[in-house]
Amino acid sequence: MNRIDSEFIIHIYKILPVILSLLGATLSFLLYSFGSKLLVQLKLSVVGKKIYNFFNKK
Amino acid sequence: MITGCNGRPHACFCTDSRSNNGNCWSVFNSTDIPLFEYTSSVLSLVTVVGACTAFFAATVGLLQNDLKRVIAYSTCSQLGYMVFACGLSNYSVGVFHLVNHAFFKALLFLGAGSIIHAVADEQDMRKMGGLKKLVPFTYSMMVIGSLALIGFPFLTGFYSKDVILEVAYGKYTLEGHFSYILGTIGAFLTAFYSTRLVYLTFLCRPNGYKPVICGAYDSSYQICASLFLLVVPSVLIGFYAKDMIIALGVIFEEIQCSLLPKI
Repeated sequence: MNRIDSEFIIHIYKILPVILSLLGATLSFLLYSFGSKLLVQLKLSVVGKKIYNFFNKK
Repeated sequence: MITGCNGRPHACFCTDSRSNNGNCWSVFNSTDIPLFEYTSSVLSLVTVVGACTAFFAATVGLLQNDLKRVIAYSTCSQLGYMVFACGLSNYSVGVFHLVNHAFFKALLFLGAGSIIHAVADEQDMRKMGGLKKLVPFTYSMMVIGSLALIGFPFLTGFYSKDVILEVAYGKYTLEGHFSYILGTIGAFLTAFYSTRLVYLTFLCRPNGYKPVICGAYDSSYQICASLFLLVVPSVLIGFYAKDMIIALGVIFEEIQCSLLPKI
């Protein structure tokens, strides 16, 4: 039972997931609002295409 | 594969039997505590596999364009969190996430069904957009469901996901730190694809056929009432159930402790 131990971990490690979640949501909103050209370029690049095809089973 | 839910949409209730199987597996995992606890190598394996699942499913969900597929891969990712909580011997935390997840994922799937129904059975998010003003009730429900899934502070997902990642780090083992890192990156990706889902479906300019988008409407009051019934626990159940399921000294915890091997 390490839940008591987990109460004493360094504070930054406790709030890091929340910070990253908020950052992810903000980044996604900003990218899709203002950086759609960048996303299209990324998707059409060689690496982007490979990743997209891999994850979409194409 | 979990993506079998991309068939022809019909009803608003998009039950995914494979996700249910995964949930059943998590409960099965939690009921086999003694078997797992006597084999530490298996526990480590369960932790690593769970963490990898949480991360990998989140990366796959990031690149999907099908509305239901995004939610289905999200389910897969959350199952990874539950499994690695079990691998870290925190079965009650895994079950707590399972309970919380049930509510907001039911809300998201029902909301997705409502949207698909509204846009003439279209499931591709790239052909949606601009639905915020046309289906305001479903929009607000989906936003709350997505925030709960993200782990937005003081909503349901926050209480369980946060505890899972805390116990992962607090384990102070290699697999604990490994699962903490992958789980934290997974949380970032979850937030990214959830916001993407809301943005592409509701907020960006309309990309679908004009008659389809213009004809979109909120579902019937039965569906809206069901969405409302699900949104209440999606907001509150984490706060209220926390002390019932994962607090030290509750009966669930005592049963779990009694099953652990005596050192």
